[in-house]
Amino acid sequence: MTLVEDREAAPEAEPPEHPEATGLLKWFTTTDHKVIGKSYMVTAFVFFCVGGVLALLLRTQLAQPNNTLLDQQDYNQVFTMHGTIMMYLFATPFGFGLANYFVPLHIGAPDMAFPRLNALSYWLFLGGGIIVVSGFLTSGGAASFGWVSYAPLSDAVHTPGAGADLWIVGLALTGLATIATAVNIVTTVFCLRAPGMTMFRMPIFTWNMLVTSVLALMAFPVLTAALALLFCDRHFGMRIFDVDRGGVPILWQHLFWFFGHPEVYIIVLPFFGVVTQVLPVFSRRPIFGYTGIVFATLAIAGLSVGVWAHHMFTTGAVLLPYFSAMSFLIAVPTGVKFFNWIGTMWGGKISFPTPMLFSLGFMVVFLLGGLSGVLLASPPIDFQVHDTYFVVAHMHYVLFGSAVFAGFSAAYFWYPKMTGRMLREGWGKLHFWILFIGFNLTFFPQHILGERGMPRRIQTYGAGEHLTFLNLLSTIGSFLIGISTLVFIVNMWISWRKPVLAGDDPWGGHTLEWWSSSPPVTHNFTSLPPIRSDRPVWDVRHGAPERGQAEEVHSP
Amino acid sequence: MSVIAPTHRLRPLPRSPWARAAASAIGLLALTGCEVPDFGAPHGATTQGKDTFHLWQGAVVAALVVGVIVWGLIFYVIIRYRRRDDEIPSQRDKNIPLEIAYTIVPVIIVAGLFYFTVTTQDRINKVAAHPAVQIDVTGFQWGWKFQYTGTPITVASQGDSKPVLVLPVDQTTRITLRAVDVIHGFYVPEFLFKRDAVPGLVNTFDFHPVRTGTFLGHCSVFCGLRHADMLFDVSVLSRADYGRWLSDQQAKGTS
Amino acid sequence: MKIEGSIFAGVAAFFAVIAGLYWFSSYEDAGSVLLVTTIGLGAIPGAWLIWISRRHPPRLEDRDDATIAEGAGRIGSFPESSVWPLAFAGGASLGALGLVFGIWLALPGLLVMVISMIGAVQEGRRGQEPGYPSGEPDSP
Repeated sequence: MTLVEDREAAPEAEPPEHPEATGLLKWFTTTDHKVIGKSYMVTAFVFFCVGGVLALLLRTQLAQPNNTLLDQQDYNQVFTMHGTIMMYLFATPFGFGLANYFVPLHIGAPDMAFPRLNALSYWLFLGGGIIVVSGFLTSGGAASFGWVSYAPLSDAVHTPGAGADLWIVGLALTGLATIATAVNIVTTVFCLRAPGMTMFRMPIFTWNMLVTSVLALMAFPVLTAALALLFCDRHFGMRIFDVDRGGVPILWQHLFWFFGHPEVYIIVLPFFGVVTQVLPVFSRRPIFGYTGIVFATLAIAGLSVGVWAHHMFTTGAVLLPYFSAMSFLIAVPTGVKFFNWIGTMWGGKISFPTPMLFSLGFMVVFLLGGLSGVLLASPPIDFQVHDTYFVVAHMHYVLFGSAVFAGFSAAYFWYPKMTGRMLREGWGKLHFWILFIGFNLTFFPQHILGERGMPRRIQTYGAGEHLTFLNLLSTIGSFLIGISTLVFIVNMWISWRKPVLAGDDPWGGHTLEWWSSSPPVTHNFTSLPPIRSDRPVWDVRHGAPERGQAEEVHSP
Repeated sequence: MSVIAPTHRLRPLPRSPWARAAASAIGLLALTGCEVPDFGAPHGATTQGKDTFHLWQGAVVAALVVGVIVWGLIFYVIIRYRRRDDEIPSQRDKNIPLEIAYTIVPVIIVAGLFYFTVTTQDRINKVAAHPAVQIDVTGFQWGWKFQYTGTPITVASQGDSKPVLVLPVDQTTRITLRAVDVIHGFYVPEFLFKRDAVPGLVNTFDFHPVRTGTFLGHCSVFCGLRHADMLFDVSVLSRADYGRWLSDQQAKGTS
Repeated sequence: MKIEGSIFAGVAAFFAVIAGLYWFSSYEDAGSVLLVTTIGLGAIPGAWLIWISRRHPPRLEDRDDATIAEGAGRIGSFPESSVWPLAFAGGASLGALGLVFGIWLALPGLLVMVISMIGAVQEGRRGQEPGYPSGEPDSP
């Protein structure tokens, strides 16, 4: 038993260690939320690289018409696994990994509420992820029905083989992991906040993770149920989705998208939170319209569960006006967030280190994704561009914009906190600009490809369809994205070989994680500042009185 | 033949003041449809497609206006408020009237878009009482079958050749869409329209082609191994040519 | 606990409205059932949290003016390390593979899961028991 008083004598900042420097056994048995959070993020990043290599294969295949680098069978497996890995094994767990690390730090808690459940979530995610990817090793290859796995294509007749089964059971495991993490985060936020840390003083990242977790609780059980039904259809002759035996194929789409649309926001909301943490720090301003942001997040989450069938407009089997109206409405709270972010920067003193660049990059690209999303909410326009590269472009602007741009923003912002070392600014800026140019070069032309009628998930296209030049541009861009990821790896390697110590608070942070040492000690805090606003560390350092008493504060 | 009224010109002005304001903004753009760029989309070879095309133009313009304003604000802020000294800036963190304003303005914008969406979609999805031609389209792995109702004519994918769906210009064709094995998607980019063929569901919709030509069609819903090969051609013929084609085919069918 | 409870209660209320709107405009079964069950997901924890918040005075984290010192002391039990999560997840993964490749894999998987459950329960409350620091911080 170690009491708090004993730990107060601990040195302020331990010499930074590389995260992997701990023994393997220690890693296997850890229940420390910081180690689990880092494991989540590292694992997700590895999956990001795997999914990225698959994407490069896809883009190389599509660089020229009638290309034969990948045959149809391989192509179908590769795009299925690219989508699966990026959605389920990179974007979702990366957000939850950040949450694992920073939610307890943000609210002044010593750990997550259920540390062992937390470790279980990580191992389930890792096991499930490996099972999904191991489909490539089976004789029939990996799953090849797209990441949405539409029935009846995904039944035992049309997609036989173990790869598809591995896909189903692996995703069920990662889904269970997500549910367990969501329960853990909700409990942590509700029950482990430090004295004075009222709900409306929590950092927005933590608010967003709370809302994300509630969303995950609504969405992931539906996915698990749908996967179980699909598995029973394939193996036990249940015929839920088999129209010849009285089943209903469209039911799969209802179940899947009832999960799938909230899933989009489960991916996006944590990164909205990241940006809302980064912008105020580098603008030296409080968050503009804190309460508005919280309610906008709640509104986005609520509406996102009511719009699932906008992925099904073209089936002719759903109520168009209802889903169209709900989808349009989501644009409103998202717009509110944009104005709040601009308001946060307005009148500030903005500096542009790498985390800020990535956050601004997120705002620029996500806005385009949001606008094309508004277009897609209109069924007649959707009739033209649904299931084309326009949707592929939209989805990447939204998901890549958040999970990668804001994800790297989080990585650069919190890397010093997690490791005690800085990443190099020069390499970081190089990383940002290559990624920003590569990303837009890859995905902007895909809007036009889609408008011209290039369907998604096709292995090749004809030479006479006027699609060649834009596809080539897109392929060149995708390799720039690949190079930018290498730059990031080099940057981490440099910081590992030649550490530049970060100190506890290299950015002049506002929230509690910057009060702790870098990396934080076991159970996080040896002392806590008084919590009188949503940025207690700023209040202490700048001697600010309670928020609301004075709106204009000048440095003493 | 002038049965095709340019519907966007004849649209009556909506009554509510909100809708009227939005209508005059976006409607003005629709009126000048020819001058607005196409933003990469096909211009539509059917009345329905043209309708969608005009909605597309209006919606893209609206989105771009919003986008340019917000991007402008972002870049303005970045440049105007970049750090020049180490003074602590204003810590004002709320402005309730402003926050209410930027909540309500987007609501008005999307309400306008929703109005035009619903009216357009009602016109596109409307099916005529007595279509001139009726065709049963069936999607299968991996090809299409077109059956002309009331005739023995059937066109189907064979080997690698694309089947051709022949339609008469300036007449309404009813498509009845089915699938036999997995979900397919009947997609003609030049018509700016697609509809999924779902096993167990029957989808019907109308085309009213306004110009002749040959247009490529795709399967839009991923349907397995040879999804990319599920192509077809839509050939819109003049009435005379269509009549000749019809009698040729019927002669072939009966012989 | 009031705000926490009202988040879940809000979920229930929102989906009550949405479910009604959806059912009466579409009469579509699958989505309506999902929306109605979502009401339950919000209502059950929401009702419990609001009920508990009425029976207890506001906690330190619910009070604007609570100081860190008030909360000094032990706040819970946080096991330092445990092998059972890894073992359980390994068993679950084996079980999942067993569903695909055959019962011979599923049975050992199940066995490992049962053993690790027992192990985890037996492990009980060991490890560090941290609390909030007792003092106010030094000024930086």
